[in-house]
Amino acid sequence: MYKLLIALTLFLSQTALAYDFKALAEQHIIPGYQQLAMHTDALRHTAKTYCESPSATSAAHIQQGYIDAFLAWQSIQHIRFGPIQYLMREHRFQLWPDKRSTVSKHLAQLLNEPETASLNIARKSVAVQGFSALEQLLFPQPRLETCRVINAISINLYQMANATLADWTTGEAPFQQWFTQPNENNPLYATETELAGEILNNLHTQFEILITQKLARPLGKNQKKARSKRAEGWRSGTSITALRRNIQACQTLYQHTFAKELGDQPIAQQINDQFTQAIKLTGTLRLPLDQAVKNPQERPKLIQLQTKLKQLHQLIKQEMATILNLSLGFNNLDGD
Amino acid sequence: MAINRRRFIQWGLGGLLLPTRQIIASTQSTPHLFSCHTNQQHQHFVSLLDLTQKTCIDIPLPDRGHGVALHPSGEQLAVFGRRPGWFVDLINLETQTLAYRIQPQANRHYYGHGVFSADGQYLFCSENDYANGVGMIGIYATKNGDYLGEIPSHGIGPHEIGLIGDDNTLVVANGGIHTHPDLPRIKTNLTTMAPNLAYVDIKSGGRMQRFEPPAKWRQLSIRHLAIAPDDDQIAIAMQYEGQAHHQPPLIALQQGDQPLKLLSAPPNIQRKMRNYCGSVAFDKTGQYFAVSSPRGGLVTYWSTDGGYLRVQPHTDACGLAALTDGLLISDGQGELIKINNKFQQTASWHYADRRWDNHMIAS
Repeated sequence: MYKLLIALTLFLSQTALAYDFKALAEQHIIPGYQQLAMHTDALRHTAKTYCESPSATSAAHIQQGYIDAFLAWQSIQHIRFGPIQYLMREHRFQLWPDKRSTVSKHLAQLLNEPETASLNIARKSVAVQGFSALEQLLFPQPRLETCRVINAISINLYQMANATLADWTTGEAPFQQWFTQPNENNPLYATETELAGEILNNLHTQFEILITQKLARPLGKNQKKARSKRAEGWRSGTSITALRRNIQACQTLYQHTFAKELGDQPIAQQINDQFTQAIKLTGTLRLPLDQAVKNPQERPKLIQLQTKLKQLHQLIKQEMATILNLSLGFNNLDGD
Repeated sequence: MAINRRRFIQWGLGGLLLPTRQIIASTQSTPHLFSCHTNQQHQHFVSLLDLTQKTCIDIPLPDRGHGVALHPSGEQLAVFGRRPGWFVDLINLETQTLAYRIQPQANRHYYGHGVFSADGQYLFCSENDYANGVGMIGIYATKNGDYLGEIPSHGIGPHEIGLIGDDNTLVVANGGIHTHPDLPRIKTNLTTMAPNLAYVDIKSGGRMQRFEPPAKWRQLSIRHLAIAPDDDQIAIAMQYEGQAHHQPPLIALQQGDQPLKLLSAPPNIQRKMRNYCGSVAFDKTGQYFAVSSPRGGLVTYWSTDGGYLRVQPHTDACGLAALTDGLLISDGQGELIKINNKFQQTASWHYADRRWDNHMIAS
């Protein structure tokens, strides 16, 4: 009886330990790229319509098309491995932060170039290929004289989204195949632990970006030193929604992986609750981020959000990683 | 000759002129180590360590450092800013203070590595002529930091450089990747890149020899190199920019006028390198060399004829420094470990609150 109990306990504890990378790929990552492909497809159509028949309505549509596509990108931006890394796609989708205003500079150069029959934007500077450049062309108002570039970027975004999706799902070596079947013959992931380490690194990187780049840089040291234009997406007013999408995406990633592995240990729920609280905090802001950093009522909420994210980051990279016997590897933002 | 002199560095021995043999004995037990690091507050330093005395002097840097090079006299250390680098700090090791800060000429930035001339008069730095998208080697006077001129690196994106043979030849790892400081971490020519290992005549700037990976693997960026103690061959560590599931060889040896001899570990180890090698070092006895793969979290050891010897798992390990009796390995968690020539860990030091940078040297 005792032996049976031990066997049963072992069996239960083993089945409780279950990362579900297949579900992660099929229910989170691939749908994320599908959404991105769908919204960038819609964006290129709104661009075409606006450029062919400019009006207040078609201008509003292309702006909305941009916002939808940009937010779809924010929902999948936290995935920094696999096809998105190939040929600098990640940076071509969005060059941000842009501390040297390279996007404006390179965009101005491009707009000054003599027109050629076709504009192959994928061969131009990374700075003019994606969302950051397109936002400047569409906000506060789209400019008809830049339509050539608006169309080229919109099409490029769609093509990159489609190619990323295709690299995950089709072809001779779909990335999905490596990602969902860790084994000794898999060139990328031999074990679930390696895959889990990759996911942990991703979460860690995204938290660093949220805390330091998306919040700390615009917040500055104090209200006087706040820097509105360091907020991501300040032109299109998408900063807070983008942050919320990022945190939601990280929570979903967590739920498909570490939450399942942690099972019913108290920390599992604790992390999930903190994610939910952080998401809730993003909903309490009454102003866009670029204004909130300078507003005495709103600024404390951003600091509270930043503190919450820092706590969550620590909880994940230390307590959780220790329990799961994972270690943070090489920093994704690092390297030479 | 340069390598020999570098072996007998007297820094930390009070400038005493000891007979060679005694100095070797001392360096075996008292490794002095030089490495950049970043602390939790994102402040950057170069550290001068005496691992036996357990002393560590941290000298602040204006930005993140990368490689370091030791003057043949042992009296000066060059610290190179990480790419795109805007400074090279020359540290006086006797006073342990900044002697000169070198800054690049117009339209140039540093790539993070360099080497002193054998006589110690000159410092050579890998640089980017980013307006023209070509690699250069900048030459500076060590006595006052003055800029003296430049010679071509004979490729794009020169990274680590070494001094060989007759002391008149630089060997340059031209990574092949074009970058521009406007887009600091963006690689703009991944589909057309052409890396090479170039031998450059210091006096004329002429190219003596150039070796490239086979056409199939032209996305293998040659970034780091180590020169065998007898100057007989060069080991190179590469980073692959193509699709993640390809598994190209990432390490190579090059000898005389022979082409690159590409080396792969057994598939299950090769796979774990994640197409990325960070640093390479020969042990000072010339018996073997080590390569770190920080993304994969491992260090591999190779015989000097290119045979794979063994693997050592070590999370986020990148820095490698040759000792007379083994190697030191550093990592991004503040750990330093010493490995003897039987590949056993014989000592370790933990420095909380710091992330060792990718490279280090010991004397």
